[in-house]
Amino acid sequence: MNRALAIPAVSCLIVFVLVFVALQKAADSASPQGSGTDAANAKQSLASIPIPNAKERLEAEPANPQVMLSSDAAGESLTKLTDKYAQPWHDWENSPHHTYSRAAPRPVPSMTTEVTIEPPSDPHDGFFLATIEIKIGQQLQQLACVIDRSTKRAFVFKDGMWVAGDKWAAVGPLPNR
Amino acid sequence: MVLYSGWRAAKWWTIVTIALCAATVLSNTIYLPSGGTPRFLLEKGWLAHQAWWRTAFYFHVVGASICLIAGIPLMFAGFARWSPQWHRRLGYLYINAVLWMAAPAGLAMAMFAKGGLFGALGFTLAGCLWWRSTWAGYREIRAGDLPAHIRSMVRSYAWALSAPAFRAIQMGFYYVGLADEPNYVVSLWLSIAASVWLSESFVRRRQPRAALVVLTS
Repeated sequence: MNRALAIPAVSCLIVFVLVFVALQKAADSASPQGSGTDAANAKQSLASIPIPNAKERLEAEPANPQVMLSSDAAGESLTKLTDKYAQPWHDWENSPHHTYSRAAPRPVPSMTTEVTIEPPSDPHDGFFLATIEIKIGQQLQQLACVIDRSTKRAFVFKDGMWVAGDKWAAVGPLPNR
Repeated sequence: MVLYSGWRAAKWWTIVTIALCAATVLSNTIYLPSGGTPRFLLEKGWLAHQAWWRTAFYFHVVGASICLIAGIPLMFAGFARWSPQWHRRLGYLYINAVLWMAAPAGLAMAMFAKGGLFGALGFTLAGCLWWRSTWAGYREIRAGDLPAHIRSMVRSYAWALSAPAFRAIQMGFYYVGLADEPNYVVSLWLSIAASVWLSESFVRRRQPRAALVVLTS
């Protein structure tokens, strides 16, 4: 290979290495764990930590009325969870995209979530029952939910088992899976 | 364009080709730093967070954009006659953009291409043949073999055009209702077939007098 091609070839290699190092540094400083790993870990823990019956467990624990979560606060906390759950989907919905591109041309259907808290029959109940409604395009999914009023933790009933709310929210759906 | 020489509607095919190349380069501006993460990178998931893949991706996008644009005047016989010096300059830019940026970066990305094995195979084949034809075109002009150089560079640019062709085909199938996943693989292989057919039909039409197409048309 003569110099006319060797010089650009070596220059491209040097630029490649410099860009690689810059991107690696940016990735390290932005997220030491890496978001892909986070999602994978969260998915794994979702599968591996079954909570057989959260309601029973909550009923067994004595409720402390001094620090009991109000219905409004429970609603807010569940809304935050559903926002976290829907965030990846909304990222896709709002991502820059042209139909004339390598990316899938189909538009992403919109996703909406709604939280309904059941008013407790006894104001001293240690938990709230709630329903999370997730609508993707025309498809509607409803999930039962229990919120511990003293620990402020939420549990969602999904695929036949109770899972911690934060674990559930960490693996929101994506249009391509 | 030399590619369409001898075709009845050569002028219209040339206009469509230039328009599709411009649309491809314009659509690539989506990858410039801006508000959100582009859809293509979201589709890639964890891969888009890998520095090596992202570097290859940017190399591919920049290199491919350069060669799509630089290749347009190179495919006009009149341009080479009007200014052989500019033909050489742009040709040098085109060759380097393919050999050291677009094709090798595309090959690195092909391992994890959408569409599974068929996707990976398609992009690997296209990347290898694109590199090979461009390298051959360079060697041939260095050796003074003009007809062979023209044949190889027509093949090379036909491979470059598989990118705009892919997008156009994918968009067409989307509008007729084909699902995204089969659409991707079918569009990829049809764009490969279109590139091969385009270049080989030129070579067969013009083989005995390939240099004459450029020098006298």
